[in-house]
Amino acid sequence: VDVKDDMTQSTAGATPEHTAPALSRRALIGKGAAAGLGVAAASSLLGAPDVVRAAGRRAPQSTVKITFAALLDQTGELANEINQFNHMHSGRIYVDYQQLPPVATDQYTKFVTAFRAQSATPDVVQIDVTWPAQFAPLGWLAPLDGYVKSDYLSQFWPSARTVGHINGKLYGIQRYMDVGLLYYRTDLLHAYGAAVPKTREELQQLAAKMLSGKSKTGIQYGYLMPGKKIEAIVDEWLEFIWGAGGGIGSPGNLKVNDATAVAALQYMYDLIYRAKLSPPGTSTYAPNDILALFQNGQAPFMRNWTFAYALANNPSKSKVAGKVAIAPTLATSGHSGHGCTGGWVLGINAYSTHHDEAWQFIDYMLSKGTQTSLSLNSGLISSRPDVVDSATVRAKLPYFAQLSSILSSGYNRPQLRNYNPFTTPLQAAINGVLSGQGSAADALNGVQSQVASLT
Amino acid sequence: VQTVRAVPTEQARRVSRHRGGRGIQARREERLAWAMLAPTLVALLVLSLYPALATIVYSFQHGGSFGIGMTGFVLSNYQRLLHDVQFWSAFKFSILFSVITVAGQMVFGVALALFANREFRGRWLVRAAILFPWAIPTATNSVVWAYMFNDQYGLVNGVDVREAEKVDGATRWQGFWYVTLPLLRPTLAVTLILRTIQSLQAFDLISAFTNGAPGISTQNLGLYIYAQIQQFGDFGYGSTIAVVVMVVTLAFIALYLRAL
Repeated sequence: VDVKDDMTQSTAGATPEHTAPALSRRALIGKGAAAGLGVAAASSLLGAPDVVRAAGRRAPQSTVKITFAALLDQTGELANEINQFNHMHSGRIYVDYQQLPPVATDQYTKFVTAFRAQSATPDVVQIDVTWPAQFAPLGWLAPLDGYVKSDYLSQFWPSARTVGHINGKLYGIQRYMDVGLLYYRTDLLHAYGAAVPKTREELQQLAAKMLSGKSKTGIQYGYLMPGKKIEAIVDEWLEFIWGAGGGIGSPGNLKVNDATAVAALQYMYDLIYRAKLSPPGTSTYAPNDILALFQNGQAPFMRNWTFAYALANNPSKSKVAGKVAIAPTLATSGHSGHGCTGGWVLGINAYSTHHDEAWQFIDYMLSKGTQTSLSLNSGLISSRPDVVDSATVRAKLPYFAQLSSILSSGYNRPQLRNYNPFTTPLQAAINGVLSGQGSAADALNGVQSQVASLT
Repeated sequence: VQTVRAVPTEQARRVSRHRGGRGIQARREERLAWAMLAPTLVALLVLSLYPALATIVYSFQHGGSFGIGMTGFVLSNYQRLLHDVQFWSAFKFSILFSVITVAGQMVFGVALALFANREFRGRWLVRAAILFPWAIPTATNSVVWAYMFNDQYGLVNGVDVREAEKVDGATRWQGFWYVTLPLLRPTLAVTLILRTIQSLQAFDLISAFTNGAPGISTQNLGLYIYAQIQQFGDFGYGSTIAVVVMVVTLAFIALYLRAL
């Protein structure tokens, strides 16, 4: 019951600025009732969305105002990009940046609420890579096929252009990439004369050796990984599966409890409780928490996302700045590591009344110039190889050379319309095992029946 | 329309009661009472009853996503409850959470109230300290507590928590038991009902503190409803669990009204 109260606000506040012209008395009553009843389903019964769409038409030649909803950007780069666009299109298009909270699930809730209310805003949305497959089948995203030709798409990383491909249509293109990485301390590797570990065994031996000499190295832990009940632990578990040559099947036929999958989770458990390389509190740590330990010089290795690179190498925030490098995530012998890819996708709200202007903005955001600025100023990985590989970007961000190869060997999570019913029980199961609540096999067997037939 | 001018005199009341019927004054007061209640009643009907009924209707529908394309009148959602491990885990945790938190609140709440009621220097400071947490949103409070329990830099892990109060003499205890407590009974009854309802419907505290972890061991019904409706878009099943919460809440209320 509580949840529905949220809908009230968005139904009521769907398009406050569109209400002025041409609203019949009956329509107004309908709209008011829809807002008052507090259930978005009511709005379709009362015909409110048509009102919204009709009223949204504006007189030509005035500036079209569109709203872009994206997570808060602390670097200021996004705001600068938008300002630049507004300057270039002065008098024609004005983009308003609607800042969303940094936690993905909070953004998800906001988007779902707006879409369910068939709100015309935000016009352009920046959504997680797992969301297009959830939103598009519900008719919430507008197809981009009318704007995009295949040679246009070839400008982007393969996963950046396939992530928005759902049921034969294109619903979004990725703005920037993310991928799981193994972080390591160059100074400690050098001190032990060791090569960068590629396999679980190599890492385990090296970390144990470093840990036994902790008076010299100053470390307390051998390997840091997120263990909190969040999306990152599913991604990390997938990386251990992929790094052992395994997989979890395909939509409609998912298999999360085969031998490789159980072994991967068992290995995560062993890192904490048997090898004792990972902190006992791992099951409560998010990526930020382990980054803090790593920045404090407390571990030689860490699995984290790309955002950690700049922060681990920032002298004002990190005691190990300048001594941190990246490598592919761990594999078993005979296999190679595959980082889990992520990132954020641009798409158009199907209920927007300004699709053309929305596409112009997306096109600008994906252009080489804007993307170069994105990488240079915020350190985020452009979805365009020509930016990541460019001399300008490489000069400032030399580690992009490694990122480029890690990205091309990265794997996507399954593209599921029901992604949340897939990941939520997995998060709970993995976190339960890492908290010492039960065996890896039991936990994954319990999830299998829930997720096997999800599409 | 005539305005009600004055409180009827004792004599007038006695007269009207003597006549056996309700006086004009009484009827007028009743009308006024209804008029004053009307806005609240309308608001309650629209804002509470409608969603409650909608939830019940949803609980008999299935299919679709985020409420779009739902069909039928089915019992499958209720059948699914019976075999859903997560539901029963959440159900048990909700009851446990209610019993422990409400009992704790009543015992410590009364103890604190009695303490703050005594005459001593600096009492205003104690009262302010007791009221201060009310000014902090639950979610904020939960995040702060989560930090206090963090194993790397938390306050609680490592600090020796000792008992602050010692037990007073027997006479005081008897005074409390036979005098104070009976006087507080009506207030406690209302508090008990309100706190129980609130604890059964808890969401923000648990969501911000543990989000159900480890595993699903602290996931209560509120969190499970949120996952089903807001994360999975399964309005039918989520509503079914919400109906269970409604029924359990009503059962608790009935129990209290009977017992107190």
